[in-house]
Amino acid sequence: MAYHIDLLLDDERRSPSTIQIYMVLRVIVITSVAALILLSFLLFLKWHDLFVQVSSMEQRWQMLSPQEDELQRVRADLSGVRNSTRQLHDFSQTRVLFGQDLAWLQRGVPTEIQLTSLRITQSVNNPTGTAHAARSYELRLSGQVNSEDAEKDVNGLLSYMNETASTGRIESVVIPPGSFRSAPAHSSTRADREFEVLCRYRARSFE
Amino acid sequence: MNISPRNRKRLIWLMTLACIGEILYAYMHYFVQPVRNGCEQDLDKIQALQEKIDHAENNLHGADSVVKEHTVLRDELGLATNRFVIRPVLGSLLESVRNLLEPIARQSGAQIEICSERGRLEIPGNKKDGIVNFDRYAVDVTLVGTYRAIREFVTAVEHSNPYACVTDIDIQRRVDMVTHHKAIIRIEWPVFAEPTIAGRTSGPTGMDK
Repeated sequence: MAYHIDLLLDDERRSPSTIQIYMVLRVIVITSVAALILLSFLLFLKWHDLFVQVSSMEQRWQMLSPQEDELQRVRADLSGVRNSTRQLHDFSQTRVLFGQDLAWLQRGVPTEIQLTSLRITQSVNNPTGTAHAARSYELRLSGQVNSEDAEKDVNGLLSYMNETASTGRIESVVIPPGSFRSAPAHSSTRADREFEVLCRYRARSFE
Repeated sequence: MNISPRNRKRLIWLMTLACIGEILYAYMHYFVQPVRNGCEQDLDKIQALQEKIDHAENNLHGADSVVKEHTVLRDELGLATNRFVIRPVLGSLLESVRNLLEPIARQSGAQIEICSERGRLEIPGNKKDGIVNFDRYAVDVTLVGTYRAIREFVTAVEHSNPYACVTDIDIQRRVDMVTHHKAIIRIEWPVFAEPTIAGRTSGPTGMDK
């Protein structure tokens, strides 16, 4: 009977496994280190990209910010300018060019009629209010007529004035009741008549 | 202490693994975490900047038309206020108005007898925006002249200033001189509103009929 004597110590024995634990550990360590380096690189790359993006956006914002501030200043100023322009415009909207109306009356009054008074008055309704304040103008003519056809002459003046009423500027032209009458006895002949004509303009709103 | 070579190797490996663990922890704690925090901060910053930039770009989208409108209106207003809004001469609006009316009366052939101040009045409706830039300033002018002269005076006043508003005219015949009449004409112009410290609360300083 043959004897085999094993003289190997325990730590000198070879593992029967085909995969050595040291090799596995070495691979794990090397792979981990490589993965860490790669991860670090990717992280750094991402951070760098973000940093570049932030810098670029900050530059853009620094360019836009003064423009926006300037625009806000212009907008605020524009609001004031609009307000001022509107106030002036509203004011001018309420005027009537009476110079041309005086000429128009001069042309239309028949020779038989003598005007003794011409009075234009305005009133502002709701003068201190804030909504729909308007100017109303009233033209009151007083005159005398000395002809046999006094009524016809006055009616002629009335129809002349009414022709203009159709343009929309004038609201009404009337002879107030009782205002076509005989002139006072001390200054009149039989044919003398006194009359008044009242002409109301359309109200002109301040807005 | 007697350690067998096999155990010694195991110990070395354990220590190596412990070191690797330490290094990993340090790596995570001192590199990965700060970088991630930095990234998050940058992302927040980007989001905030993006919102501001979008808002600014939206605002600036119609900027050209706003600037154009501002330039046009400002020029118009400058022209109107420099030429047509009455400014006081030596502190007096009446003096300014007299200087304006006397040449017109001369050219029209009328003669100004009295030029009296009616005062400042508010322009109704101006208060609605809270800021009152203009008042109206009224003057009564008494003049003598022919009907034609009076008519030309009124026309010239109206044409000299697109904001001059003749509000009242009273022409009466004169018994002593048939061809000449006496006329009282009320004219209003826009004037700059007087600045107030705590906003305007008072009513009109003049009287409307």
